[in-house]
Amino acid sequence: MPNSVCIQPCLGLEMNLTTIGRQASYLAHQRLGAERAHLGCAPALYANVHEDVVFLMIDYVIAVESCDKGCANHLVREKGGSVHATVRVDETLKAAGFDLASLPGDHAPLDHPAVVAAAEEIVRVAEALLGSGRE
Amino acid sequence: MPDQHPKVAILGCCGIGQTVSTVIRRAVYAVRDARPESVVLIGSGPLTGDVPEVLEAASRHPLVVIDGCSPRCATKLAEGKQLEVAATIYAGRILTQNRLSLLGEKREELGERGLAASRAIADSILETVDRLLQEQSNPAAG
Repeated sequence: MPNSVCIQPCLGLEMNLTTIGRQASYLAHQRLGAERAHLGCAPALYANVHEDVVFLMIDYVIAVESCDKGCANHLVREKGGSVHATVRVDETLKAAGFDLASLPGDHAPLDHPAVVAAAEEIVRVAEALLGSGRE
Repeated sequence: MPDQHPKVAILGCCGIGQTVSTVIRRAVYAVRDARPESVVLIGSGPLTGDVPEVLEAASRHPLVVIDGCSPRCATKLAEGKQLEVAATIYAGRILTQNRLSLLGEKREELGERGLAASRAIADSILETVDRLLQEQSNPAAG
């Protein structure tokens, strides 16, 4: 059973929530630590960069989606991997009471409340998977 | 309805693992801000997700691809999606030409060096964008 997670963000570009998702992925990776978490890179995975392909084989994969288009899920499945959990940044932040339209666009620091909220959800999901003993 | 203005599509690798990916992400935003009517940003993530409107935009306009590092992921992505590439920029070459370094920079928060690198890459993209826009406006001369 895996002892690490691959945080696989959608890496969109145009929506502010894709920036929040990206930064939340960095923060979650920091909080979980490099031994328990890897960052999956969509263009690298598409290009079959060895490290990113291996993540799908050895990790629990957490897709971090910023909307309902499901890009990270689509890519992981296309590459023969499984998504063990999906964190929807939009839904997480809506539930936490954030005004999504007012969130920063091109960049958000790691201590932005929305980044922290999304990262906490990623970490919660990661801890649940790592503690689950699932195959 | 066809576009009123000629446009150029920009696909930057914008990955997450390397600092240069963040540099490119900031650069393409800067290009969008400099040419808001003339540039369409193509996200590598949505392209890997086969989002129809992103595939369509990348196919409809001349496409500039920006690769961040040696695997050339953005180029491979464009090829894999059978997109015609009008120009390719390799971030590493821009950094070398401008004697810029990303030493000490963090991928989650660019400092002075990272922002300087981003500006240099944005300038290079803008040169290419402007050339392609001119070619679209004056096809006989291009």
